[in-house]
Amino acid sequence: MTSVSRLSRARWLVPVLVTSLGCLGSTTREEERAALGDTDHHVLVDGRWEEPGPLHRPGQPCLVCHSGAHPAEGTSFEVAGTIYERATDRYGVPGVLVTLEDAEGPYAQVVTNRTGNFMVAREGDDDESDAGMVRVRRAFVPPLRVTIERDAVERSMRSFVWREGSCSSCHRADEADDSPGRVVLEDAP
Amino acid sequence: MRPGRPVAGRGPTVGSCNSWDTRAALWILIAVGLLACAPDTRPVPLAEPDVARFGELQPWLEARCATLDCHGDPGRPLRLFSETGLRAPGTSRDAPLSSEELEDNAWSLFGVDDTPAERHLAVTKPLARSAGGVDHVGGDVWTSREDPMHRCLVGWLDETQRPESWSVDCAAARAAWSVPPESP
Repeated sequence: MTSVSRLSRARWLVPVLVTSLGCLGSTTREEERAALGDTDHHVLVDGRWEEPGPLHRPGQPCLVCHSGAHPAEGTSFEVAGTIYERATDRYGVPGVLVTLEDAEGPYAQVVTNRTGNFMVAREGDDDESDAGMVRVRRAFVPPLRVTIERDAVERSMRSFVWREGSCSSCHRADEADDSPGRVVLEDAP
Repeated sequence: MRPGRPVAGRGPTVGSCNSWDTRAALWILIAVGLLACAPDTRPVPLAEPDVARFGELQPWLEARCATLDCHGDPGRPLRLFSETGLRAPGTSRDAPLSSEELEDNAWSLFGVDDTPAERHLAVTKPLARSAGGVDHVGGDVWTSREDPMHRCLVGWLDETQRPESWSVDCAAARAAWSVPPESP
C-alpha cells in the first residue's frame, strides 16, 4: 500500500472519529450527580465534620449516587431519605421509625440516624441496622406505603411510591407545584 | 396483457381500439366507484373528552398513575394533576383539586392519542402485552381487559362503547385504588 492511499484512508477516519467522540458525554445520572455539587457533602455533627458516610448529604436524593451498576462507596440503596422535625430545619431528626410496606407485605423498618437519614440497602446478607441503615434481600414490589413514627407522632404518606427510591426526588426542600416539601413530623403552624 | 403486442386469437394490435383494455378500464372505474360509496367501517377517531364524567376516573388515576414519581412528573408525555401530586401553577397544595385541573387532566389523557378507544395509547400502554398492550416504562398496570380500571377508561374515552355497567366498573376501580383522605 502506498503512503498516498494510506493518507487517503486516514482522511476518511477523521470524520468517523469526530462523530464517535460526539457520542461520548455525560449521562443523565452523571449530570444529576454533578448538579448536587459539594454542598452538605460533609456535615457538622456534634462539633466535628463527618466524612462521607451514612450522615452525609441529608435531604438530597440518595439514589442518584447510591444505585446502578457502580454505586458510590459500593453501597446501593432501594429506598433512602431524610426525615425532618420541621420543614425549616437544617438537618433531619434522629430516632424516627420508618416503616415500609410493599405489595408483598412488610418490607423494611429502619430508624433514622443523627442527621435524620435512613437507608434501605440491598447488598449484604445481614439484617443488622447500623447508623440508619437496614439491609433487605429484594427490591421493593410497588406500591410502597410509608409510615413514620416517633414518640406519639405517627404519619402515613397518603400516596404510594411506584418507582422512585429517593424520598428527596419528590420531597424537595421547598414546597412547590411538583413537590410537597420535606418529609416532616410536624406540619408548619 | 402488455399493450401493442399481438396475441393470437385476441384481435386488435397497436393503435386500434382494444376492447379488452376498455372493458378492464370500465371494471376498474366501477370498482373504484363502488369502493367510494361503501360505508367506512373503521372506528371513528374520538372527538373530544367527556370532561363532565372525568370525576369517575380521577380518584384511581391519582393513586395508580398520577404520583409524582410517575405521571405527576410534568416532563412525562401524560401529565396528570392530583391533590397529593403535581398541582397546576399557582394552586395551593392544601386545596382540593380544582375544576380547571380536572379538565386539564381530561384533555391530557384524551390527547395522548387520536385513535379509537380500544387502541388509544392511554389504554394500551398500561395493558400487559399478553393482553394486547404495548411497552410501558411503568410496567403492566392491567393484566387483562377485564380490569375495572381498563373498562372504566375505555368507556370514558368513547361514550358509544360505554356499557351499562360502566359506572359500576369505575366504582370498583375507585374502591381498589384511591388515595385515603388526609387524617385530621
